[in-house]
Amino acid sequence: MEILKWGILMFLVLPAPFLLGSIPTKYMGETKRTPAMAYVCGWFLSFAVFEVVAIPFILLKKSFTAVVIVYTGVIAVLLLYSLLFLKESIKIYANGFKRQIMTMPLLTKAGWLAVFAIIGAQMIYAVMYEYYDGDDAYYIAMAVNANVFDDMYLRDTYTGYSFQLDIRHALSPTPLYQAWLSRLSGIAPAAVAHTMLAPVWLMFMYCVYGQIADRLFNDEKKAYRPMFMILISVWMVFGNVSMYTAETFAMTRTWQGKGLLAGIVLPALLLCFLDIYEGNVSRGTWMMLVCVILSAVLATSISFMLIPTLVGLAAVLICVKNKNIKTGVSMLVCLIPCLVLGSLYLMMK
Amino acid sequence: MVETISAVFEDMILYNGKSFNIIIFLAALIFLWVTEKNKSIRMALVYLTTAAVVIFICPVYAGIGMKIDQQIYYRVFWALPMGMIVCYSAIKVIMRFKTMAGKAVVFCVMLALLAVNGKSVYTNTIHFRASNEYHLPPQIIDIAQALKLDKCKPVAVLPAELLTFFRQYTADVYTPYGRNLVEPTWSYFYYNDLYNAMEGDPEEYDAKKIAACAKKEHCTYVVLSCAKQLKGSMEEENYFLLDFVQGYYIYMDYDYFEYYKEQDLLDADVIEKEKAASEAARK
Repeated sequence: MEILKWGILMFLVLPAPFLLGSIPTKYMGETKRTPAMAYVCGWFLSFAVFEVVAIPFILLKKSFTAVVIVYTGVIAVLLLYSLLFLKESIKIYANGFKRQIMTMPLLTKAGWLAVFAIIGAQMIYAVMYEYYDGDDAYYIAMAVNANVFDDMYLRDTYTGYSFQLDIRHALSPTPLYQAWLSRLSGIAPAAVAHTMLAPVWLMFMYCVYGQIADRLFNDEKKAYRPMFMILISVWMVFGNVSMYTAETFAMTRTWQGKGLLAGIVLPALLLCFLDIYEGNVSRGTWMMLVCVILSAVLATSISFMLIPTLVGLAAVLICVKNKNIKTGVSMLVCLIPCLVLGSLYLMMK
Repeated sequence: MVETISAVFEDMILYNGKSFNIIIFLAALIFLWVTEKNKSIRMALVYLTTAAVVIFICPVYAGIGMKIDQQIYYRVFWALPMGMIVCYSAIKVIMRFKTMAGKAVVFCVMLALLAVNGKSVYTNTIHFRASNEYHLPPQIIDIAQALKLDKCKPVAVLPAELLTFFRQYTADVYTPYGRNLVEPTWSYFYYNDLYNAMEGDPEEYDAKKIAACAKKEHCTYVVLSCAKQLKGSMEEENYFLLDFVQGYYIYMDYDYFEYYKEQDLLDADVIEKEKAASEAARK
């Protein structure tokens, strides 16, 4: 029974995002249709859909079970849809992989092996060692409350007693996403967060950086990608220069919304900007940008300030430097969901 | 305005710790301003980052941000891709070396610089070998199991060291207070007589005081650490010792015991344990 539960959880965090990601990547250029990009896009798609589904239920004070039913239904439909072009995606991934392996010098292959070994070691450490963070008393307890009492943000997490809607956190329901994983798998939220999401989201983070390496070092510079990845992983590990850094949050609180924003969502936003600035923006990239923006809101409420600033700056830059008003305006249009939720946050706070 | 600017710089200094990260980042950014030729990379890494730095230290923006929540303004620095810019610049330096040996030496020097300048997240923070899949102290699980009732959700008061973890494991037991009273910076806003009775004296519990406050807070259970002395006796206050779990005494209020028994809300093992406790008391 335990094996089945962990098997379901593994499916939800490994193949499910990978399959979901083939939907946005289908609309990207062939060079960007890689398994890692599909995995990255899949996570952001699942976060974005969760944000859109969960928020109305939270604000209307409906049960958590209702969110579970609707969200699971939507994800199931998306998974089925992704299966329609699974064969085509796998063929493209396999061709790309073959091409890469055939042309890759031996030293680069060794470099990639070193990268995988470093990331693997970090993932094993995340499972084998525990780090106590006080904020889990809120976030994980919220997931436990949702599963036990079947309500959302309507309880004082520190006591369990009923309380008014906690609007400060309610629009960023990362704990509820984890409660959903817990409800479907039957694994306790603390185990979902600490034993499963801590290593898996580390891998997810390095997949994002891998895609950034792909954009920074293309064509004849490809050989430098593993070097960049090793440097990034060392930067992350030695980033604990204070308790406030993005690296500290990403490495020690990987499973919390703040860690998700600092370590994964903000680098992914930069990845979107790199793709947009490259020109000929595909539909897949726009889908990814909207999903990343919504994922930022799902992660933490500081996104209401940070994301419009960054996307706004990026849009102004493309208008001014590239004289590309259309793309700039499109970027601002992608911001609309964040602005709507931000306004709601300010009105209800 | 001066206050806001100095608050931003204070945040930056705290963020940077004792490292040279911000200096290295600014040096790398200037290096990219001079050397980066690729248009899209220049836009995303150079112009956008520079614009973000200017905006984040701008007193108007920072003033608004700090008005919303001064405590967390430092988080805007997360949006500066410091690691990416430093590592990308490092690779650009490595690219300038023609021989493989030269590249390897510079790469190793870069790695060493990053390691010496930074602090490892694994050695600078406290990590323990995980003893369970929850990554929670094992006593939490045992105590939660002992307190849980199948047919109702009781209230239990716990020692401060358990509060941060307890509700991560279970919501089947209410607690009169939680981490909000334990955090030194937050407890300023809260006051609770029961918390004061439990934690006021670091050496000793006062049974009378704790029992009086626990009854006011409708606690079914009182959990006490064996590391502290007990002045008086919980039995005299109408409690019985339900269990002793991993260094913690679990006392149950007789009033609640009787009430739950009448309502048929008690688990069989609790009734057994009460019988054993009352027999031991008679002897």
